[in-house]
Amino acid sequence: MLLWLLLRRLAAAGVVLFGVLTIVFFITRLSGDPITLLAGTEASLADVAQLRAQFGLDQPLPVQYGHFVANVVKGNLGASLRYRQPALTLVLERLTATIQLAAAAACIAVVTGLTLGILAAVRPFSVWDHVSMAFAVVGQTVPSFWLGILLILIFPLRLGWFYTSGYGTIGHLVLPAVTLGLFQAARLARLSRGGMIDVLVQDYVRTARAKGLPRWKVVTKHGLRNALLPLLSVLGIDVGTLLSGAVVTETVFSWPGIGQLAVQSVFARDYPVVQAVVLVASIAFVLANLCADIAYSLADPRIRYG
Amino acid sequence: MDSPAAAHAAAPQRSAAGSPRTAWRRARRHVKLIFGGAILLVMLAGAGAAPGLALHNPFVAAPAHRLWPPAWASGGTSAHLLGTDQLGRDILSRLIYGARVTLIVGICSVAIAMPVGTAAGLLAGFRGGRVDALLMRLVDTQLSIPFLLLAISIISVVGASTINTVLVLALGGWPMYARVVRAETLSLRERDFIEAARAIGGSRVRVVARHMVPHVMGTVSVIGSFATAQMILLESSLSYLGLGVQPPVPSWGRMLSEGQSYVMLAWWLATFPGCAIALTVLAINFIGDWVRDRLSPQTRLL
Repeated sequence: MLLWLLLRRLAAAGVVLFGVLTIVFFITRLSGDPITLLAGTEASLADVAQLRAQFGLDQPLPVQYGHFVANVVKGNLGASLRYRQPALTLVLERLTATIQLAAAAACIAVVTGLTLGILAAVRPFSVWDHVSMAFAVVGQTVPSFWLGILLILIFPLRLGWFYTSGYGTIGHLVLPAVTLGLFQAARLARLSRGGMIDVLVQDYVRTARAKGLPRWKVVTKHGLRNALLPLLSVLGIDVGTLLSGAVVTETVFSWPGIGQLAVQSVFARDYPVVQAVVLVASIAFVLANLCADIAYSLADPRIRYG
Repeated sequence: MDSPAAAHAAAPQRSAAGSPRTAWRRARRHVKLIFGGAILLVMLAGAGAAPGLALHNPFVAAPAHRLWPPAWASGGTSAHLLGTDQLGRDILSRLIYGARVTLIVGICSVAIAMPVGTAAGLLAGFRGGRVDALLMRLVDTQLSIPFLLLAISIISVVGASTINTVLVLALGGWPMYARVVRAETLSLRERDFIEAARAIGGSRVRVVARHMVPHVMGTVSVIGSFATAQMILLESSLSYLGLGVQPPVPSWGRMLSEGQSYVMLAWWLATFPGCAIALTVLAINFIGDWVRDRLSPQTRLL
C-alpha cells in the first residue's frame, strides 16, 4: 500500500519535472536565435550555418527538444557565457549558500510562527492573540527587501551589530535569515492559529480535559499533533516561496547564493546560467514537496489507506 | 474546500435584520473595509490627480537640491515634505507618480490572470478527461517553478518593461484561479440545479455561464483581492531587482533599490517608498479579508 503510494507520488513528481523541462526549453526558444548572439555581427552566413549545425539548431524543434532533455538528464545544462564553465557547476557551487540561508529562515519561521500561532490559539482574543495576529498582518505586508534595508539601517549601521553584507559566519547569516523568514513566520502564525482553534474545539480535546489532563498536555499532545499535520504540506509549498524570496534577500545582502547568481546572470545576458538556476531550484522544490507529501502520508494513516 | 457542505456554508450569514444595533457596532463589522478602502481611495485619487497634485516634476533632477531631508528633520524645508533623492527630485512627487504605476500594474495583471485562470478552471472542471489532465499538469508544473525565478528567466529573454511586467505577473497569477475554480466546478457539476439546467436543454455554454460562473465568482473575487496585493509586492520586488518597471518611470521598488546605496547618508530615500508599498498591501489585504468574510469564509486558509 505504502509502496504503491510512494510510486504514485514519484511518478507525479516525474511528470512535473518533465513539464518544468519543457517550460524551460520554450523560454530558451523565446529568446529567438541564440546563434546570432553567439556569432556576433561580423560572422558570415556560412559561419552562422556551421555554428547552427554544431549546436543542432538546424534540426526540427522536436529533435532539438529531445537533445535538450537528453542533455539535462546527463547533467549538461550548457556552459556559462560569462565564466566559460558548465552552468550546472556554477549553480551547484552557489547552492550551499542558498540552502544555509533558506534553512535558517525556515527555522526562524517555524519557531516564531508556531509559537505565536499556538499562544494565540490557546487564548483566543487575548492580548497574546492580538499581538500575534498584528505580527502576522505586518509580516505579510512588509516587502522583504524593505525589511532587509531597515534591518541594515538599524543593526549594522546604527548599533554596530551583525553585518550589512557578506558571507561566512553565523553573524552574517542572522539578518538575511530574519528577512527571508519573516513572511513565512507570519503565514505560519496565522495558519497554526486557525488549525489549533479548529482542533481545540473537538470532542476528544474536551474528553482529554474532562479526564483531568493538565492543560499544557492537552494542548501539546492532543491539540498540536493534530493541528501540525496539515501544516506539513504547507511547509513543502513554503520551500518554493523561500527560494523565490531568496532571490530578493540575497540581492539585498549580497549573499552568494543561486538567487544572486540568477539576477547577475540576467544582467550579463548569461541565459544558460539563468535556466540552470530555474531547473535546479524547481527540482529542489519538487523534491521538498515529495518529502512533505510522503511525511504527511506517513504521519496520517487516514491518507495512507484512504 | 470543495465539499458541498462548504458550498452551503458560503451563503452569507445574515443576522436578524432590524435588531437594535448601534451604528458603531455595525461599522465595526466593516472596519477593515473602511480602513482599507479609505487608504486605497486616497491613493487612487492621488494617482489619478497626480499631475495636478505633485508639487514638483518627478522627472527633473535638481543637483543643487540633492538629498534634502524631510520637512520635519533638521535641514528640511516645507517645499519638499518628504525630502529629495540623490538627484534632487522630490520624493513625495515621485511616490505619487509611483502609485500610478504600482496600481496599474497590480490591477492589470489581476485583470488578465483572473478571467484566464477562471476560464481554465471551468473548462478543466466541466469537461474533465484529457483537457482537465493537461491543464492541471500545466498548473502543477508552473507552480513548481519558484515564481520569481520563472519571472526573471522570462524577463531575461523578453526584456524588462512595464507591459512585460504585467504579462509576467499575469502568467504567475492564473494557476491559482484555475486550481480553485476547478475544484469548485467539480463539486458544482454534481449539484441538482446544474443537472436541472442541463435537463431542460441548456447548452453547455449556457450552463457554465449562467449557473456555474455566478457560483465561483465569490471565491474568485476573494483570490483576486489578495492576488492584487501579492502582485504589487511582486512588481516592487521585480522593480527592486531592476527587472520590472524601467526608469525614468518612477516605481517604488526602484526607488528603494536606489535608496539602498544612500541608506547611511539619507535614510528617507529607502524608508518612504517602503512605507508606501506596505500601506498599499495592507489596505488591499484588509479589503480582501472583508471580501472573504462576506463571500466565502471557507477560503480562510488560502
